[in-house]
Amino acid sequence: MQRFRFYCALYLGKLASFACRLVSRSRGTNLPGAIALKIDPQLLRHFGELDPDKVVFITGTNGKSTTTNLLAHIFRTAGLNTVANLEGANLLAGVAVTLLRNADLAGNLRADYVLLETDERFLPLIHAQLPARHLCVTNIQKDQVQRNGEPDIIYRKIREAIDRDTTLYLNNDEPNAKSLARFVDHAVFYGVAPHEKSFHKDDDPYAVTMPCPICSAPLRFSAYNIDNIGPFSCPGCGFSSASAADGKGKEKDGCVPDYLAEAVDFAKNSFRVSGVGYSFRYATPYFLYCYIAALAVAREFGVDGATVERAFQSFVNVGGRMEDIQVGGKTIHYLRMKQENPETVQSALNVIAADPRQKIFLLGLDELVDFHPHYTNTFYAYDCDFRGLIASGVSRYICFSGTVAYDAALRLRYDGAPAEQISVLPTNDNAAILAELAHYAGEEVYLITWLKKYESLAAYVKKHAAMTAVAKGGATQ
Amino acid sequence: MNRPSLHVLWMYPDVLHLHGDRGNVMALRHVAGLMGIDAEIRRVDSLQEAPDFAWADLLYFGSGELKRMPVVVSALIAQKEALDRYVAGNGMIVASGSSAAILAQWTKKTDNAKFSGLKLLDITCKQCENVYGDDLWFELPDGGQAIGCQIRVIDIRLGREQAPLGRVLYGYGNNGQDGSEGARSGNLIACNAQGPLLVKNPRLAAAWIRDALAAHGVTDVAAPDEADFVWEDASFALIRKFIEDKMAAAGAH
Repeated sequence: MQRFRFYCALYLGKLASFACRLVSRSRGTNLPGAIALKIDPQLLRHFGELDPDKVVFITGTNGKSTTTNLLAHIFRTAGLNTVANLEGANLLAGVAVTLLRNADLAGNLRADYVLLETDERFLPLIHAQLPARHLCVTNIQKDQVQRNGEPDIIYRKIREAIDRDTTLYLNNDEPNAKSLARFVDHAVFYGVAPHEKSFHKDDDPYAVTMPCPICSAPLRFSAYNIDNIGPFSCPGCGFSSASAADGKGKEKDGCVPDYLAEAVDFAKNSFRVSGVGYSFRYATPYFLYCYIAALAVAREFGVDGATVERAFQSFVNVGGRMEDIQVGGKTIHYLRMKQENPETVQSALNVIAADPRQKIFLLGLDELVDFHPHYTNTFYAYDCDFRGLIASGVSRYICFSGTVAYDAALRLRYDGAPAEQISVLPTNDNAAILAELAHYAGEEVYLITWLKKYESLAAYVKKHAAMTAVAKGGATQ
Repeated sequence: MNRPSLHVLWMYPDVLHLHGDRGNVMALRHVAGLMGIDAEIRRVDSLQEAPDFAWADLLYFGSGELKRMPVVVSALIAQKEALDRYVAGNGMIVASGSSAAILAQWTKKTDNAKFSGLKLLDITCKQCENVYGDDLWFELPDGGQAIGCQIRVIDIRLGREQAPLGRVLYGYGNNGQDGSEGARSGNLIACNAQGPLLVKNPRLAAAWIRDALAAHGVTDVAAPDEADFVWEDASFALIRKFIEDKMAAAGAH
């Protein structure tokens, strides 16, 4: 009966998947899985030829999509027969879709390796059906507080999916992730040595770090490679980025992570690991952690360094984070942020602060509409430091949003932006935003907002440009 | 004439590190400045440190992970004598969000384990199974209003004689049932609205600054110029409209 139910789920799921793809290639990342799971709630458990020793989960607050995509690309470059959920379908239904699409009609998986980006909250559910023996954790940080509340809630979710014999791949520079090593016999650590884009917060009287995940004492960072990630130590219990924390109660000073990116050169897109050179096309501190995480997992699975480097050279990220819009003689450089995720905002601010050119800054914080009830949270802006951006030569600030434009403007003013240089637009209307932008001289414009708003603005500019071209064409005929 | 000064102890900011609550500390300094008051902020970073309560006019506790609260309570119990003197002198304490558990009688966790608070307010807390985030609009006893956001991880119940901080106009508040928001006894305050509450509601910041200084004999304090709050008022109006639309939509259903 159980097997019959599985086959029904498999065939109906495959059919639904096929139908969804007829409608749109980009659709159907969850629906067929939801249908199949309705029929067989334990669907993931019933696929054949699925060896937990060859299944890797990639989870964490930030960077799991890019790390999964990179890792899959490395595995495929190495000739390993690999399945991965590259479309960001990281919930139970999304994982089900990935597996049923890649299973034959007997329910056997047509792949040797399975790499799955997994949502932190769904990790225990997925793990209960598919007990992967390998888990990569990028970081555990503040994110989507409306449903996650506090990092400790996510920490406990991830903990539920860890068995003593799980092999963990952990960010050595992120305290929460690193501290998970206590719970296993074998952990592999990856990290990044401080580099030219590392920063300090010594001059910020309002700087806030985080509590030690082991003893709750306030942690100290000697440098930040990205916000709240870097060489750290706990004055309370001695836990640090230099300690082994191998899960056996042994702490030894001076431990170097198994895979450490050193000699990072952002201008030359290169870094070294154990003396071997690697390249990274997306040369930002944020992406570097994705590269070194993927490298660590791949090397542990036996992929040689030369193959990893070949994969790095040919890797193209899906839905890159930095994109430009050309409008009215200006270039708008888009930097993606995730709402309620201060690390993504701070990373974007740091990119702008590093550009000494005079610039206009567009800030589109917005009300939260991902979950119900919609609300106007701007907490995360107060976890970020805007002073570097303000000191980098901004000629005009434009804050727009239907509801929280004034809150964004207040945040800038609190960090020292002169009120007379701030335009507040209490609207999301693209025409109004661009009209305000056109008032001010300057070619370089930076935009930080969430992805949907950027897509709306980019689509508007594209459509407007096309209409202008048609009108011009009509006028000349 | 000397300008009055406001002394703020910012309690364990790296341990109670959630929800951008440092915005409230920034606001205390900013609004005090608008009132002609020099605000000095001192951090209490180490859990082993003996805070200089005798120096302070206001202790601020930001939100933290519930897991950290027993550690903070233990740190303060180690300083109980000095803290008791501060409280007896009507010193102001403000705790945001989950840090209400620090001032509470006790908190019960989802696994039924209980931990004690400092028992400064007659409130009890219960950890919730699910997180809930929403706008929070409330009215204060003096008729003033404030708008913020709340990330609820605990439910708060007031003791029989315990006064709330305010009355919920929209949102969850203490428990989503009795319409109460926060708690206040004298100058001891627990408030569910987190993050930049005092940035967004500078008159509330001014009132708390006045109360904190009055407890230490400073009563000749200027009111801030209303013209300084144009953006704050515009924000309030926009968000109130947003909330009213939500309420209307909920009513329609």
